[in-house]
Amino acid sequence: MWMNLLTTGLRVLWKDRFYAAINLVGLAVAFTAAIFIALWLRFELTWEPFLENPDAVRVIALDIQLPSAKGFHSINGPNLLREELDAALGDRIISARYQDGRLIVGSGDRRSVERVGAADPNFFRIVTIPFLAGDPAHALDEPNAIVLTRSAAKKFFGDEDPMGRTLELQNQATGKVTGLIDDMPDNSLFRRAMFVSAETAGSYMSRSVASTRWEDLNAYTLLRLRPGTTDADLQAPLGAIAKVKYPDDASSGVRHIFESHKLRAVHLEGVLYGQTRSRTSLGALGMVGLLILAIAGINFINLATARATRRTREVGVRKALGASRALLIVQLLAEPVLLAAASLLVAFVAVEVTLPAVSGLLGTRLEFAYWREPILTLGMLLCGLAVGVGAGFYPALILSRLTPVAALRAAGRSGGGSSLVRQVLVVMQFAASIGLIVLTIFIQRQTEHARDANLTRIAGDPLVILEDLDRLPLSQRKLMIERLASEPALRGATGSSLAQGDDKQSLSTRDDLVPGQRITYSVVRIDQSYFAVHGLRLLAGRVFDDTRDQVDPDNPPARDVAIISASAARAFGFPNVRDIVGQSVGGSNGDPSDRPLDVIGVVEDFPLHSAQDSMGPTVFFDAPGWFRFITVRVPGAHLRDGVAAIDRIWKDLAPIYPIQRQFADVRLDRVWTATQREADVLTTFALVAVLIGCLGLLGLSAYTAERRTKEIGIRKAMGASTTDVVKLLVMQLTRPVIVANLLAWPVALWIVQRWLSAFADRIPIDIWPFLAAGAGTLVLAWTVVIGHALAVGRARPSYALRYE
Amino acid sequence: MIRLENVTKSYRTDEVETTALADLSLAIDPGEFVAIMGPSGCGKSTLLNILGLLDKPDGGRMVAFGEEVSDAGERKLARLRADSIGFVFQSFNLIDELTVEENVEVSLLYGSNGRSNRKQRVADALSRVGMAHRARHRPQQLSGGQQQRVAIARAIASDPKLILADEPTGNLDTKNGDDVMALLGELNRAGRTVVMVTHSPDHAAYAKRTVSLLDGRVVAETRNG
Repeated sequence: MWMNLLTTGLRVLWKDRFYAAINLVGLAVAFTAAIFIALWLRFELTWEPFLENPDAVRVIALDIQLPSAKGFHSINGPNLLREELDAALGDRIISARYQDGRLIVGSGDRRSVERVGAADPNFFRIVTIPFLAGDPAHALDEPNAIVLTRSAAKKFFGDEDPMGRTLELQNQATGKVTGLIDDMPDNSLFRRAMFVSAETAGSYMSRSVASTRWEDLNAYTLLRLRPGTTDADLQAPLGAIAKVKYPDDASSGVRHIFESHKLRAVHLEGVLYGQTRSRTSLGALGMVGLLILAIAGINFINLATARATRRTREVGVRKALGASRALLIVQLLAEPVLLAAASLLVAFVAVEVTLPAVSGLLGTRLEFAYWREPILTLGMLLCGLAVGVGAGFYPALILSRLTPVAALRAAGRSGGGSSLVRQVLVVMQFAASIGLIVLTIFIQRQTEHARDANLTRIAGDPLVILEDLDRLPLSQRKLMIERLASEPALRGATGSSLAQGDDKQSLSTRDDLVPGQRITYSVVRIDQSYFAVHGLRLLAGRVFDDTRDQVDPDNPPARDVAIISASAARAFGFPNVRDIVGQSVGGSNGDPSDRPLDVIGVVEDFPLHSAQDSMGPTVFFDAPGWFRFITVRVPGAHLRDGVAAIDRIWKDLAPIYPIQRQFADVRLDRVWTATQREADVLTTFALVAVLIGCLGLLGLSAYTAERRTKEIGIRKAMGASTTDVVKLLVMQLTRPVIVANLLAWPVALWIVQRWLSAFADRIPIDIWPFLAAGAGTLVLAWTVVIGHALAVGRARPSYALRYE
Repeated sequence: MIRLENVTKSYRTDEVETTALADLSLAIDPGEFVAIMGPSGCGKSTLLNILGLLDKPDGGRMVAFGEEVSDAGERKLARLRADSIGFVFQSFNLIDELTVEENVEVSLLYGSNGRSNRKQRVADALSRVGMAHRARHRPQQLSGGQQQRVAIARAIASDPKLILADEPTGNLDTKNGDDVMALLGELNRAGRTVVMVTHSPDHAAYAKRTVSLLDGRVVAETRNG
């Protein structure tokens, strides 16, 4: 008997290959998308996947609030915070500092720049990365100890055992390998090639690493709370330390607040620079996943119920022959459950096959090991079963309840009531698709808008940025700039303390510029060529003259010569920005560090440090002692020659330091990649949802056309032309799409408004995305439907009338 | 009114080719009442479909209402059907989702009739067949005889020159069958041309001429009375 059920089920599927294929493809695509979303969510929610007892691990971030400018969060804190916390909490915590850096690492003749983490001995007891060799508890105890990742070990030592071997660090120190770990996963803050002992790193890494100033923010402070210690225990010491170490907070209007975050979630808290992912965006992605499943499920149920009504005659015959109701239910369930199971199988295979490609698209290595993820696998299986049973149950219940006579009589007649339900489901499905499209259009446009606003400035000839200039002595820096500036293959070079796409900024807050107001501005140190090289327009006044205006670091002047941005001029009380040129502002409060500013020029606003926020008030000084970057303009037509010239000059003047250069747009882009990627992913999944919706529509339109074959035959016999028939069928499916638009627009508008309100510089909400989504879905629906309508419309009426 | 010359028609499936009409010639004149008879599979329904422009012959010539239609386009055929032909089917072929009057109106939708004109014609046709009182019912709510009367109302609503009936009494009992035949006879007397396929010699007797088919050929023609 079971064989009979199975063969009938399979034969029904084969007979209706078209529907079966549509259902299979739609559901398989939805399952695939859902699995990917689940994998991604899991990836994002389990950062530092190796972490033992992750709930006990904290990182201390600093929330800096400014009186007149937008403040910021920093996961980098002062170097000495760890010591203070140790003193306050003793053995209730395990603590360690961690600092990011780049080092020139050498072994024999081989030299390369590596991203390294400098960490205290306790680091591996908090961030419990499994060791392949060495003792995690003591790996960083010795001076200049090194813990290598597998691929870094391979790079420097090939297949030889790296343990106990030595590496040259920054051409200044020799370190010994004391530990070997696997490569770090993509979902980790500590994706570095190696870790070195922080205690001694100060001697060869940049000086700021060892800074003891509480204003210098260079180190993560990581804690593992011992059992019994809670966040509440941290609050009092953190508050007290901030109060003691930032004594000016009360008077300056700047506020420093230490916050404790769970390490595993800190990338979602808006604390990391350039990190735009948040719980909200993950939630949105999860919702899209559910929506896709819902749309596919609705489709499946819709088509399955529609088709089941065609089996009324079979049900009638089987009942007449004595089949029980229970048996019939099982039989009617067999087909959709089979189909759902097949879809799930296809989806699993599809995920396996496309995983590398999707990982590339997302920029993160996703893994799908279903044997290791019983919850996900079980969840998907249950989901498949639910869709199958859900699709089969309603028609099974209805059909199996009919008496044999009623079933036979109803055969061939279309069900009027259930078609209303189907229409409602189609409307809901389209509404969801339209809402998603509108939302993604706005997300894409906002992302592009913000990105363009930041990229326009570096249009024209490409800019190359040389980094880590602070390794060179001042005289060598100046010489480097001179040589680059006079090189005929290049179009100018300039030094600066900040470069585009930088994650650092230097802020100054003063109360002597405008009476009764505290004003915070960014400070950027540049030279006379800066604005010319960047192609920035001076709105008034003149640019620096290095011979006259340059600050001698050993002999600071009593007054500062400054060029300011237009927004700074307005902040300083000059709505007409030209008026401030030639004026001297500030310096009247008796504080010797607040020197008067002699403003010699005003420059247009442009985005500099952070690509996400538009530039706040900025003040420029001519002070080469602070330079960390050289920006070189390279002629676009001779890029190769220009870059070669840069490399040559660098090698000439600083042979022991490998050059570190990047194109400016790449630096800026890096910041945008995450945001753009997120928008792209959401767009992709929205399109998947629409595609699945269309597949459903295709099936439904074919079904409708088929169901109405007799009616169409009659109409054709009455003289209806092909056009009349096509119009009839197309109109029938146009109505639900239009209703769906009317339902979706207000909801989408509300969501878009809420989403955009989080951006300072946001695009206006106009009607075009709504119209586009509406028209797009309508055209798509028509395209899908018109094929069937034409086929049916063209068929000879005699054929249609014979049908039944 | 309609002239077929050496018309052939065959149906092909994957395995077999069935000849439905073989070299058939037939003329229908205005005002005639023709009955087509013959055993199952002799080509009666195929002939009727071709006469009604629902299907095209494979070969031969066909002239309908003064126009050459052997290779006419779909548009032209649709117009001729809308203007000149009314159909009555064995299984009534009413649209379940529409009411009685909407069903009748379908035959007027594709011609050149204004809305009020349509309403009037629907009402006239329904009262002509004695179904005016069921105008707002659905087909399922009517008996077979009533449904066929509605189908006849639909066939005459557009005032066609030709009415084609495919075993109009096949699904009806004797009493209802006789009523329908009386109605068709009445329509013929009022000037319409009627062509009817039937199995029943009694009902064929209502016609003025009987054409007998066998294997797609005309084997006999008799004039009644």
